[in-house]
Parts: sequence; C-alpha cells; structure tokens
Amino acid sequence: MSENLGMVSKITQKRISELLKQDKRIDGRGLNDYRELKVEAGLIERAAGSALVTLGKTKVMVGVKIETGTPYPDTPDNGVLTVNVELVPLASPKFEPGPPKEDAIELARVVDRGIRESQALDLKKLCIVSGKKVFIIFVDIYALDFDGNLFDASTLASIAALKNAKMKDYVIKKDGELEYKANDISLPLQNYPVAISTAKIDDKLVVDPSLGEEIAADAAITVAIGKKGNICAIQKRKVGTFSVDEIIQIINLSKQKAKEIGAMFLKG
Amino acid sequence: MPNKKGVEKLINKKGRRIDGRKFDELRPIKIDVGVLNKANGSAYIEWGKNKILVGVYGPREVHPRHLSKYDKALFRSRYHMAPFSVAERKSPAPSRREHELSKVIRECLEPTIFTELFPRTSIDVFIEVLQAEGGTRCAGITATSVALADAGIPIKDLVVACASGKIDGKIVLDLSDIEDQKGEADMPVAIIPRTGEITLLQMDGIFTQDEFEKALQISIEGCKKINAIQREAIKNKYLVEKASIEPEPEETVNEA
Amino acid sequence: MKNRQSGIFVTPGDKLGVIEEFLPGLGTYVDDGNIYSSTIGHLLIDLFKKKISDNPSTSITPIPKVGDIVVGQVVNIQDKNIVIKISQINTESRSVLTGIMHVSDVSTSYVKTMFNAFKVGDFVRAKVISSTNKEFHLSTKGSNLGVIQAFCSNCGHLLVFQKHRLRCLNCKKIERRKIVLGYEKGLD
Repeated sequence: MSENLGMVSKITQKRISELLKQDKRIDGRGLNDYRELKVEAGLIERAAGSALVTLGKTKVMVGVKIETGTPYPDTPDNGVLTVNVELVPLASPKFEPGPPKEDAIELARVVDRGIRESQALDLKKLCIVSGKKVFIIFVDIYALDFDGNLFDASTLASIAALKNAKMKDYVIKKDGELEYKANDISLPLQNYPVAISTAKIDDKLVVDPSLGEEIAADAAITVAIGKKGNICAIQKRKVGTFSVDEIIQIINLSKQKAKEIGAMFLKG
Repeated sequence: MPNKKGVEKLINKKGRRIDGRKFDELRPIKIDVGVLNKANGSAYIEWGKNKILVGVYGPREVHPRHLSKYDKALFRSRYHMAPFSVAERKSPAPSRREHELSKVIRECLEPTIFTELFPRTSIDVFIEVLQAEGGTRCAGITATSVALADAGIPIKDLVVACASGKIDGKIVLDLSDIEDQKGEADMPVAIIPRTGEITLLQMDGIFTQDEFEKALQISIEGCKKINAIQREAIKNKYLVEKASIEPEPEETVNEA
Repeated sequence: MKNRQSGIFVTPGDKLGVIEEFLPGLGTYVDDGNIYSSTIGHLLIDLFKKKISDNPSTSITPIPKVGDIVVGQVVNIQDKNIVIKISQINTESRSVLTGIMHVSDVSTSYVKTMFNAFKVGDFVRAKVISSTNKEFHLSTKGSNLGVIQAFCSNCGHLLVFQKHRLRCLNCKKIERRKIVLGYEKGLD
C-alpha cells in the first residue's frame, strides 16, 4: 500500500529493520510465518455468499451478489466477474470516503486477476443466452480493519465467499427467461487460488507483512498460486526492486505457503 | 480486434507468430528524444503499432502544496489512453486499468530517480498512449526513462521494460495485442539494466515455475536489447545537436 | 572503459570510473565503489583535481541557490512577511517557485511594517539569503534590490518616480515602496 497510509512512526520502522537484522520480527513471528488466519463463511444472509477473513488484526469481509445482465461484446459466451474494493473509513484513519483511489483500484485488480486468470470460476457456465444474457457475479471487498496485507486477506475472503455462494437452480426457457427452482446450487468454482504477499525490508524477505512492515518495506510482491502450484498472477508493489534470485525464492515460498493455506481453509 | 470465428493459431507450423516474428523476436522499436517544446523532457516511442508520447515536467513547485515532501521530490505519473487509441472508442475518463498502471509505472521508475536532490518540488510524468497494440506499459516505461534523462533529471540508469508470455504453450517475447488476448499468460517486466534489479513485475495467466523462470529470463534479455536502442536514441539527439553548435572539444586530456 | 577520455558521450548508468581513482563530480553518483553517470552529457576528467564528472548536455530547470538574484511578484503581504512568486533566477526564467521575505530583510534601515515597502502585484528583484528547510528566504537589502515595477494600489496604473516620489499619473496618488536605484529607468 502506498506510504500515505503510514501512521507507523519512524521509530517503529527503525525497530522493525533492526530486529530483522537478527531475523526477528516485531510481532515475534519467524520470517516465513503467517499470522493467525481465520475464515468465517456465510455471515451475511442477504448476500448470495459471504466470508469474513481475519488475518492477525486485519479484517476483510466479502459479499457476493449475483445478477443477470449483458455480457461484454468481446466475450459473448462468458459470465461477468466484477471485483470491487471499498477501503471503508472505519478501517483506518487514512482511509477516506469517496470514490476508490489508486490503492483500492490496484487491490481490486490484483484480486480480480488472481480469480480470473486461475480460472477459478468457470465463466462459460454462467452464460444464459450467448451475447444477450449472462450472470454477473459481483465480488465486493470490504476492508473492515486494516493492519496490513489486504491483498492476501481479500483474495482468500473472495474465494471463500464465492465458495460459500448459493444461487437458485434454474432452467432456461425458450425465450431466454429464467425459471427458478426451489433447490440451491453452488457457483461453478473449479479451483481455489491463494495469494501470498512478501515484503522486502533491507534485503530481508518477510511473508505476510503487517501494517508496520508494509510501510517499512522497500518493495512488496503478491503472487497468486492456482491449482498444481501454477503461478497465475503477480504484482510487484511499492518503490523498490527485487533481484532475480529473490523473485525465484519468493515464488518457491509462495507456492509452499499457498499449499498450506489452501489445504487448511479451502479444501472440499 | 476482429473476432474471427474458430480458434486461430497463434503460431504457424514453421514456428512463426502471426506477425511473422520468431519466439524471441521484438517488434521494431523507434525512439525519438526531445519531441516536445514546452515540456522539460520528452520522448516518443513507436513499438510495433504502439505510439506513445511522454512528457516530463519538473522539478517544479508542487500543486496542491500540501502534497510536497520536505526531504525529496514528489514523483507523479499519469498513464492515459487516447479515446481513439483502441479499436472501440475508449472513454477519456481514466479507467481502473489506467489508475493501476499509473501507480505501477510510478513505482517502477521512482527507484532510479535522485528525488532527494529536489525537496519540496514535484516531477510529473505524463504518458499519453496515442495508439495501442499490446505492451503499452512497457513501451511507456521505456520512453519515460528516456524522457527523464532528456529533462536533465539525475537518474541512476535508464529503466527498460519488456513483456514476455505464453502463447500456444510456447514462451515468447513481447506479446502483441492479439497474443495477449488469446494467449495463456502475459508478464511485463522492467529492470534497471546496470544492476539487473527488477523494478516492475506483473503477471496474469497461468505459468508453471519452469515457464515462469524461462519467461523472466527472455524478458531480461529483451530488456537489454531495448536498452541499447534507448541509448542510441539519446546519442542521436544529443551528439547531433552538440556537433551543430560547436566543433569537437580540442582540449581532451588522454588518460596517462 | 578502455578509451575513456574527456569529451566522450555518456548516458545515465554508464560506468565512469572507481572512487579509488577519482572524486565523483557533477552529474555522477557512486554505487558500490564505482562512479556512474546520472545525466546525459560529455565526460570531463580533471587529472589535477582527480575529479571525474559528466558535463550535462541537458539543462534542468534551475532551483535558486543562496546568493542568486531572483525576480518575482508579490502575491501576499502580512505585517512582517511577504510571499513572492519567483519567476526568474539570474535572468533565466523558470516555472514559479515561492519565496518569502521577513520585514527585517527589506532594507538596511528600519522598516516598521511590510505595508510601507510593498504592495501585492509589485515586481521585486531580491537576493536569496537562505534556503533553510527549502524555503527560499529573500532579501532586498542594498540599493540594487527592491521593487522594480510598482502599481497604484488605488487604480492599478504603473507608478512612476518623479520628484523623489512614486506617483500615479492617473489618479495622482503618492505611494511608498522599497524601490531599486534607477527605478525610473524601468525594467532591465
């Protein structure tokens, strides 16, 4: 996230980098440790699907809504996936009301890429009438409490909410109208991408940066891992650089972490 | 892009791509330096059918003033696409994509700029895409670092960017628009050529780790080729200008 | 590196030398013991001072240094301070920068309030005396510094210097300023 989110004092930042020289982190974690992660699905009954992810002190809620509408002209046979991020002012004193700013847009687009490029949702199955009518899946990400690493928490919450989402079973009538049945079906989710963020602070790599670490970091990178450990999205963030070796190291670490998290929260 | 029926082959039997390039071949690139009058520095790049104009202003006073930083210059960038730059008219209002690209381009170039030399000022970069054919962010970054040098702003090195990706299962360099849309993965990479540090890395699509490493490698090699073009472009502009003003400096001191 | 000599063309990132050999000069930077170019320019090797620099071909918009003479327009006046928009540095024009002046730096003689020396809109020639905190502090002490063009606070016409007074020929108003020597000759 950009430095204007910073409200961690220079002293804390200095402490973070001093501790890192001895391979310690300010909250006592090891360099490759994730914070405590909790996923609660289905808290919002009004939404088709919802999930609340708690990552340390970071809280992200995602609601999924399903509507029908027209497809994009270049993909007439595909349903539409829309990811939107609201950095609500109650989450941090630095979040302001108003239209999404660069940070929120970047976050939304990175989460979107992770879900889209891993083909987590089979968009072809969300087509009703080719070129005319498709299902539109709205994934609305709400950052409720901000203590760093919204990228991972948001991606995880989005996938958990999509997994949780239910819609009425339907049949398509001849005129393209839908006739709903009584039973519920799930969305056509075919795999579960996991995003892992790593920050670089003075040549040390730390996974799952907290807010202080995110601000102290020179550079950060988010890697989304799809099924079979394939890499499906990458975004390097912040002002700073990585060497090729560091990138390879991060990819290996991300694959391992993604496997652990995927096994814990997204199985079945 | 014309949406043809049926699956198009992105690579033909002879191992050539749609536009006749080999896997590791770049599109033709041409850079002009100092093309604008009012801007402190500028560059124009033609990369395949991409046509991008970049202007640099600054260091200058920051507006609004409260954004200014006491210890360094504020570096801002705006990536914008002209409404006529793509097949269907694009609304001139900045889209979410343009917001994101403005941000990543800024973060990609800032590490090379000596912003600490100009506290309480701003350096503003404006990137206007006049015509887009895939890989505009890479072309924009490549042109911007040349424009920054043209503006006389001290920089560590000329940042250079180049994308690689996967089409029809093959790792290729410098994806065109159609290859980006129909291919399996796209990965723009920007490096600081002198140190080989990566300052921009984005990816979407599906890569295995081996493919990723290979793609990163050919991207970096592509970047090095483009870096030579950047330096050549600067040389063309400044050596010619110098020669027309004064003859070769006589008092050259040879190294003992 | 082989044919390194003064006059060769360099671009940012080109290696110029090592710090054991030379002092890094203008347009260069040091990384890991090596000296690199940071601007487009021509190499300049000073074998006597053991200094290597990059004589830039580009010109950056200038930023005032202490001692520079600047020209600007008064945009805001308070009792003890004024704000000046600088538009020219040592006869070189540039995009605006803000400078400030305290009442104690107006003149060698005592000035009680800024309202006695300047009015909003006046063009002033001043000297940069400090750039502490990157605020440009200006001074008009000295006979060649001060208002070079003043306007009537009543009707806006140019004030002329006649019979030891600044007068408005339009509305006959007489005003006070800290003017430069030779104000009547106009802008140079």
